[in-house]
Amino acid sequence: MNPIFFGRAPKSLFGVYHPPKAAQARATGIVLCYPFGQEYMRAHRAFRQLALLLTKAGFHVLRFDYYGTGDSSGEAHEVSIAQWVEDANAAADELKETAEVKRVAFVGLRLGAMVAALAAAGRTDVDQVVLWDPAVKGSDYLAEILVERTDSVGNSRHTALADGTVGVMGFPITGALRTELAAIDLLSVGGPAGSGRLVVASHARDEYAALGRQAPAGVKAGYELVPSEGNWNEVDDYGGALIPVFLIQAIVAHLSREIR
Amino acid sequence: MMHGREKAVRFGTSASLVGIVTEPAAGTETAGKPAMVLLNSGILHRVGSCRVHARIARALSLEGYTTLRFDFSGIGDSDQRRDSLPFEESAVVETREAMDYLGKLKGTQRFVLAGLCSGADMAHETALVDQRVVGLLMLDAWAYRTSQYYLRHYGKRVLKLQSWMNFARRRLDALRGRERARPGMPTGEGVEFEVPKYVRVFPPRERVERDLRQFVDRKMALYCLWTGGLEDYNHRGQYEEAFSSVPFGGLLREEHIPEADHILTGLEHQDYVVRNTVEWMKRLDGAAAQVNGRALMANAPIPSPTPLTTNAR
Repeated sequence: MNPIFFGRAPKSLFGVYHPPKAAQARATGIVLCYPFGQEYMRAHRAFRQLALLLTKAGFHVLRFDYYGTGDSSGEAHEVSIAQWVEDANAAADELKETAEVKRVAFVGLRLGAMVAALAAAGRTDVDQVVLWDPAVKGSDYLAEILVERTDSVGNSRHTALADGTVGVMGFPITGALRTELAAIDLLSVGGPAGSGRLVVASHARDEYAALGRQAPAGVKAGYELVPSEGNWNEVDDYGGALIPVFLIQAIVAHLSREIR
Repeated sequence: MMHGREKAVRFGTSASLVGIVTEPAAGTETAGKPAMVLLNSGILHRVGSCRVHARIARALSLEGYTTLRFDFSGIGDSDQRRDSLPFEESAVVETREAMDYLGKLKGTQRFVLAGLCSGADMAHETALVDQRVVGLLMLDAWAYRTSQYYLRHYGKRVLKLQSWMNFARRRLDALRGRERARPGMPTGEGVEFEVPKYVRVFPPRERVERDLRQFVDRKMALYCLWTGGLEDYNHRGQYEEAFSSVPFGGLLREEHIPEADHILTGLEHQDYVVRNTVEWMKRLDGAAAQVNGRALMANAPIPSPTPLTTNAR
């Protein structure tokens, strides 16, 4: 495991590169795309587990923090989906260079799935895209995370600022980001021809199944439900992490099967 | 102005620990400043709750400070230890290794330790055994109920019927030996919910009093801030009351943000913590630069908390 900064200042990004731990290294590297806000905090451990299992299956893996998040540069109120897609592309290029692989795959969770799908759609070197509990429509995602939350003493976990920014469980969402998100619908996003796309869901939801059934031209699409309790869009006072073990195993099994 | 350069580092003897060093911003570095080490809160990785550690590190870098935020073994990106030290011991060992690392890198031998909740506890424990610690920033540190606490606590509740009913139900449950479910503790198949393994037990007040006497003798500066998320603390001044025999002088800065939750989800509360941490460090730095023998902050007035600017960024 190798923690690194990559990309150019002032937009340098933090990532962790995991080299393969199997006798036979695979020729495709996997980029992991985190979700947003508290979901990112809550998923950090699960992503580390996923990365470790993928390395045991022979993959090179890079997980990284988008601009304005985690240890990467930038302020939280500067984030945009366009920037994150650019970051996911930069991460894929970094992994190709570091690991000397020619092909990549993306795994994204929630908003990270949206980023992964958008990044993959613009590339020609993608073998697989795994959309894990994806934010399918930006408007639905916003509606879901903006639902009022209170802490253990009854105070709101949301903050409304005068400039239209809303703090959602501790992370700002600007008006510009809301506008950008509201216009994104993964059902109208194509995939790179010749690639595979799996929607993997922890809960049965219509939008997951709809996206899973839909096959953009030239894309081998699939849908897998791995029932797992727990909700990403929650937060508790002790900062608990969510690690859906069976679902993580299903992702590793899928990628191991579909990629040489 | 751009914050200082950051680099990912690995250090540690029994485990490979991962951290980020934030260097002072260009042109701000001056010799003799203490460095800050930021410690994990529970199992939240080193960026801190709501990323507040990364923000503190960068804000301090603009004022010429070096910081290291890192993950304890088994948390975030750090490996498990090869030995079997319990967390309360390994965290102290690893915090000292973090100071050793920064000491070698930057030549500094004066450190401020910072943390929220378990991070505050481990900052306190490390300071006890390491003379290089010259300051502690503790959020939601151990708190002890005082007569003023009870006055405020029951003053509000004594007239509420619901409070009496809750009290009666708790007593009845206790008599019947029933354990009340802890809210928010999830269970489920196929999912691991990882929660902090550290069980937070406040040490006896007398022990903490002895510790604080040692800190005061060493002229350590303490910035203790409580959110509204810790049941045992309900008013500014409670810490000083609980340890009224400790001659803090100007060394203790005590604050309370009752509207804030334990994990600082309020954007204005995050801003407050970042801004005031920098301001406190600058004052600590100025005072500590004096010739030894002079009280560190005895003459520095402690300001009232800056008003929270809910509508300003």
